[in-house]
Amino acid sequence: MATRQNHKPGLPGEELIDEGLSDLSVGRESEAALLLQIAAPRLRALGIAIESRPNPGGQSPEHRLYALLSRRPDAHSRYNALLARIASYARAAEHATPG
Amino acid sequence: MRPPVDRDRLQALTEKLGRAIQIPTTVYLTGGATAVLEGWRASTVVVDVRFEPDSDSLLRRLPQLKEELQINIELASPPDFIPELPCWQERSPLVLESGTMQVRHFDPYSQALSKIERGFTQDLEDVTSMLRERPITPERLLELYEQIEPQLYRYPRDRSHRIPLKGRRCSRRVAADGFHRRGHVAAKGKPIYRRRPLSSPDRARPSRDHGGPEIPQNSGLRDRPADNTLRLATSAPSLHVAVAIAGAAVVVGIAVTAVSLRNAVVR
Repeated sequence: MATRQNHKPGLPGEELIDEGLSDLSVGRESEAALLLQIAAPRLRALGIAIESRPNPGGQSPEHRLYALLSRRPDAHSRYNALLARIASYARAAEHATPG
Repeated sequence: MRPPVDRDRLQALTEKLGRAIQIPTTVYLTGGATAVLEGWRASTVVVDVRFEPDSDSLLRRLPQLKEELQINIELASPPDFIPELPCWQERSPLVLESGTMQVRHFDPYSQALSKIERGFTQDLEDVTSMLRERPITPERLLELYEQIEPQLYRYPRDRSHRIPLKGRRCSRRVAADGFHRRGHVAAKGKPIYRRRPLSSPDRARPSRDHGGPEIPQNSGLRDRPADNTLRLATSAPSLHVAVAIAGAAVVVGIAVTAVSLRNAVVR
């Protein structure tokens, strides 16, 4: 069960966190859910509890995200943009965290 | 979709690059490409490269190569994310030579610090592999980090005025003499990359990599002030990179934890 302890409202990328947590809680492998798994260590440090999950078929979340995007002509660009978005969220949330 | 890049496809890329390069050029591989060639991962989504020197003709050829080989190629390397580490060129191990081209892994210490800075799951797994396979040692990683720490303010995107590294113990017996070579096949079909130590002045002299003092768990180093320093406390919940060095002598584990960068100093 993925949960969040410290809410950081209004930060860019917030929607990915909400969507990802929701999808993870029902076992749905969406773009947002995979992104949360990719950035899990950093998000955990922010109080977002993301369980470690086995990688089906030994495929990393990065590879699964890329495969999920593969039907799009801009798969690589979107893949990069999503990673940048979650990193940006984490950075902003870290700076918003006191202490 | 361009399929993930495995070792064979990486080799095809280096062969094509070798033919495209007209002046003596070093191609530095980073991230997934290094991990695939070193056997830490089976494949990567993106191949990050850096050319030294770069040239218009080579950069113009890249889009064609991407299409011909169906490989995602990006111009990226650790100095895009962290300050350049001193002598990184000398710590960049040779992968292969072909004509006027040399292919090298980018300095593993630079790679490790930039991965720790980003702190994604795969990044930390790669650092674990680096520590296990011993292209890097925790002591040297800390030394090099401390050398670039005063320049982190130049990277406002990261605002990484401290990179939290967390360690339990550092082994005096940790030795790092380059990547474990697994007989990467050179362009002419000859494995050229076996058990050759890195040609680094840092490694030529007796260093803490090769028997330096063990850092006790509660040493002064670990007790440095929180501001603008490494954080070495062991309380934060995140990934522990544990390395157990087994040998005839003592087996000592080390752990390096990377968590996200917090609390920019400039507030």
